[in-house]
Amino acid sequence: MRYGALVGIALLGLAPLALIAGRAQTRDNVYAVPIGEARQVLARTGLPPLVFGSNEPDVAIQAEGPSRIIWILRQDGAEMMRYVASLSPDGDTSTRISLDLVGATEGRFRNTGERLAQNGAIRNLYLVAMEERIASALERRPFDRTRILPATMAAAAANIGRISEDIDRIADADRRRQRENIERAYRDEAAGISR
Amino acid sequence: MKRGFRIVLALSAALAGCGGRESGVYEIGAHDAYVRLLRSELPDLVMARQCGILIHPRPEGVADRSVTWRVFSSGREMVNFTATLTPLGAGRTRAEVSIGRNASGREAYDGSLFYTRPAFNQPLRPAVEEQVAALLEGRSFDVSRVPRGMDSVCDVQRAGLEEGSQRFSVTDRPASETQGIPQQTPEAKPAGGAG
Repeated sequence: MRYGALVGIALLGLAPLALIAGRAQTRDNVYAVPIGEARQVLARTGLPPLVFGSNEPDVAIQAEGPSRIIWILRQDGAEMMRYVASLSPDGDTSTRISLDLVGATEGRFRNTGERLAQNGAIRNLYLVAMEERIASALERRPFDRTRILPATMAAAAANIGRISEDIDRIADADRRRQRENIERAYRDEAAGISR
Repeated sequence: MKRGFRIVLALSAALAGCGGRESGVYEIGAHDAYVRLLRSELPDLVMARQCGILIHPRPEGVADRSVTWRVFSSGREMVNFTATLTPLGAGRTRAEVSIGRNASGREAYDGSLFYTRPAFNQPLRPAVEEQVAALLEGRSFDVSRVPRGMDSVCDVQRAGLEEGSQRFSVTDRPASETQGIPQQTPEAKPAGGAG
């Protein structure tokens, strides 16, 4: 509760940024790299950092024909969602890349597509982060965290209720675990079990 | 006129309610208060305020007049405190808390003393008063009514117990002796708390 309230206050000032980020829908980008080279680079490019937290899913990268790269995200073997990048030449030396995010429609995570559709801010964050991952790979520079900041704030603001509940739940579980450890220590002492 | 008088009466009653009852006075007879206190080994106080060495308050009574809890750890008395009961007519009792003193006459765990292996977080007195009040009012110990503990040694010891990783004992030698860490200078050696 304490942490949730603090996060809430902090995010109040960020609400306008959330609105700006929410409107950013452009998914086509052009990079100064020939399509053959872009395809080779992307086939070796992994997921963006940060956005998946400590529970980062496994990723398998598939090249489908000359113009599609697919990143399939799985957790415990079950597909959660996939990024699909469609590549097309933009002149001789540049490549246009269109990125989409598709939620799983079957298996354990079959509701992911529906949930992404309902939560545009999260979907936008995943896309912005992957776009930056692609851009940084093709432009041969480090991943720039500041470029995903507005989308991160928008996602946090849109999900503040859930974040707050999560923090409360974690804190409750922590207190419960600590109490159990203390009670166990007293039981061990009573049973003559040494430290 | 009559209506105005009623309003004044109502306001007076409300103001009287705001004042609350006299501190340390409880709506319970001295005998019942004595029985209630004597039966308790203060589990809420222990859980809220202990410092990582396992402690066991043992109540001893002087019939209808006082209850003293002697707090032991590994068979060694660490501190004691007493609730002295004074009957104030039918169904009302004053309970006054006193905390044992150290060799130099200071109240143990008064918030300013250094303990190598503390039994309770300091200051102890408000926590004991809250525990006695909770028992006599028939309610749960309310941690929000007690000032936050400020004994850093206590916090470190307690963390070991809460995490289940390390249980301290009053017989453990301090790190200053075993690891060459400079020792804090004790202000005064309290009874049962010098180590």
